[in-house]
Amino acid sequence: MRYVLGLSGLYHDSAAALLGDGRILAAVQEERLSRRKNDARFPERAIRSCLEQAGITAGDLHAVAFYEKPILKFSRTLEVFLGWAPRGGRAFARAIPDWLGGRLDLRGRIRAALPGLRAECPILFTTHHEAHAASAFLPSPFTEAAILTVDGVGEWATTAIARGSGAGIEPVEEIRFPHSLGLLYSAFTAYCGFRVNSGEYKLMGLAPYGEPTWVGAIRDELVSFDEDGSFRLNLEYLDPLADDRLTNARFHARFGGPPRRPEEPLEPRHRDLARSIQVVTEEAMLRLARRAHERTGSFRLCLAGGVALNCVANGRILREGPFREVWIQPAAGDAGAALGAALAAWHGSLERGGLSAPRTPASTDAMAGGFLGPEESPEAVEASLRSLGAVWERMTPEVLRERVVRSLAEGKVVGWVQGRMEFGPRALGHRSILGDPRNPDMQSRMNLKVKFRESFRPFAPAVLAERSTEFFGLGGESPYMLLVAPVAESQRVPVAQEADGLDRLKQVRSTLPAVTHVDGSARVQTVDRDRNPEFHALLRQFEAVTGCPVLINTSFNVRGEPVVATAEDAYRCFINSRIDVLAVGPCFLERDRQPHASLPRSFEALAD
Amino acid sequence: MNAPPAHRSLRERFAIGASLLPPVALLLLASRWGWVGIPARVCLLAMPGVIGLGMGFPEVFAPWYRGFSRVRSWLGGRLVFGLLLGIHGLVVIPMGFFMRVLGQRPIDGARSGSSWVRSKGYGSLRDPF
Repeated sequence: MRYVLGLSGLYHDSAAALLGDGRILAAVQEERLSRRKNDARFPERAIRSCLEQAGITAGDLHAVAFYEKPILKFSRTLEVFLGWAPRGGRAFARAIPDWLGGRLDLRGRIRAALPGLRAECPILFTTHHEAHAASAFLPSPFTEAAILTVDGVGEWATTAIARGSGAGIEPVEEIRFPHSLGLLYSAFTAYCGFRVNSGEYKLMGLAPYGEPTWVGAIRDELVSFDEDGSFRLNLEYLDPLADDRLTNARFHARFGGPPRRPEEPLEPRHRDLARSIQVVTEEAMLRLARRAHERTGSFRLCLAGGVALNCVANGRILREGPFREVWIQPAAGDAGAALGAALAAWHGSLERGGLSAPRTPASTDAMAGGFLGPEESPEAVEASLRSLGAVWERMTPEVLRERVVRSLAEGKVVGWVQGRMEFGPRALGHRSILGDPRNPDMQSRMNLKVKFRESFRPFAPAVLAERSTEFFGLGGESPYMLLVAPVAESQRVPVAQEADGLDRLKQVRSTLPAVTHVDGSARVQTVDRDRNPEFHALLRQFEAVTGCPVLINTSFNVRGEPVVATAEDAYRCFINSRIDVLAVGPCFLERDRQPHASLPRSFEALAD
Repeated sequence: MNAPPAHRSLRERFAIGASLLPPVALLLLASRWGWVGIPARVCLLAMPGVIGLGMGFPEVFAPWYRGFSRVRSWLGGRLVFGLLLGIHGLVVIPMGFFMRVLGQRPIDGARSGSSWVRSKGYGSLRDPF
């Protein structure tokens, strides 16, 4: 078997992915193992995990591929400093040591991290957007498709259109730095008091509570659209070199004051700004999707890049765009680019230095449901629990499901850790916290008392794929929780009088109030037996007991924590939050029976 | 029960020993300027002995070494930051200015018109540039 290792990192969301004869064997984000959210360090733990999962060593690798061209990115960085001068002195002094500290000599760094790597094993470099495009198209079920990748910035490109056919990807056109939809969204994220490169989804969750009152100002002064779907940012309002802020005094004056600090309360203005930038982003994405269709002629679209995690925009592309089918890489951010780099090297032509392997698209897709991470054996789970002094019962899968379903039906919150860990930002039923979506109090209870996060944050429903259309207006499958769809009219409950702002949270809008957002939408995960058999069986059992084939599914972590990876992480999180029941591997644990009131946490908390 | 002392490589022992040099060097300077009564030659001769002391008893001087390393990295970080700010002011700003005078604009700041750029291909996978 020929193995290719793909790597991403040193900016944010480091990851490693391993292919064996073109099949995705493993993919892991560094943050899950290092316990530091959005960990940008070189993915040494993720590499080790991938090799261990496949049972190989570095000496067995046939190629290693990195997701960026470091020297090209460094030259862009220098050119931008030259173009931005006399501004940018502090950013320059912060950025250069990072580059000189090992980012330029990546070959050396990769070889040092992979002792035993054969001298003849090539270390390859894709461009950033090639890695994203490859992660979007090559695992998709399509033989040909338009590919749209949108993120902050790679080397120069921020947005790119490509055409995928067979095993080949042909770049068509791109929009370059500083004109970046990702940077624009991140600027508003930072301005509203959330962390760049991790708080964007909070801004998206906040948007439905506001009014689009700033859309005109954003369109008139901050971003201009061309008829051909491209856009330009007005740099008089932005500071694209300040990674943590991105906005300047002029921006603050135009949008009503200084940036919100994370600990400050959210004002109506922040909600309105969130809504407004969301509207503009959706409009931009729809224009880009139409352009991608025009330039490629395809009716199938593959999406990746950080902006492709904007599931509201994705839902609109699916419903309103010219495409008949859309496939989105579940790890659409930079972590997924590790997988893209490996796939690009595997299928890349010999002239370019690739392995030139042919491609046969899988009938669903090649992502194996996104379950590409490590899994602990039942014995390892029990050993971890024993070392922590936990009290548990070991059960067969059937009995475990029955006990979990009974707990859920009683209104309890359940931590659910089964099988291989997910790759990508979403928990898809292997590292999840579950609850009953019919309970109107469940959203605020899970937000405030279990996950310790903002009360406005919505929860997603996991629904049996075969019954999804009864509950959601999806028009297709959404196995990776990347599409927002309206809750079906038949499930809606009329609201007598619409409340204002965050008070809208308390109003019941459907038969599934805990997963129905204030605009009547939901970020849906459809669960099918082929991709996700354990979770499918659990939903079936919940349906048999309650008649409801839907569960709340949120990632198993608390605020600032990466999603749990191991039984130990899960037990610590279980004890330190108010999760009632934990089902990890074959073990069933109840809060009341545990000897601990709290445990030292195993992660480095990330501020907002 | 005390934990057994960690094994320390020769390199690590030398680093601990060398970390004891700055105080001796300060003493040397003070002696040259006549602030202390110790002859400068004594300070110079003491230096190899101080290094040897640190190498011979690394566990004793380990806490000092940790503190010294923290101060060194804090000071180093600020020195590098200042140096790079200077390079920005003396090199980057003038170069950026001349590029603009010569009509070169690395950042496309135009407000209107299409921003699409035709792709030139992905290039070789072997090249990091």
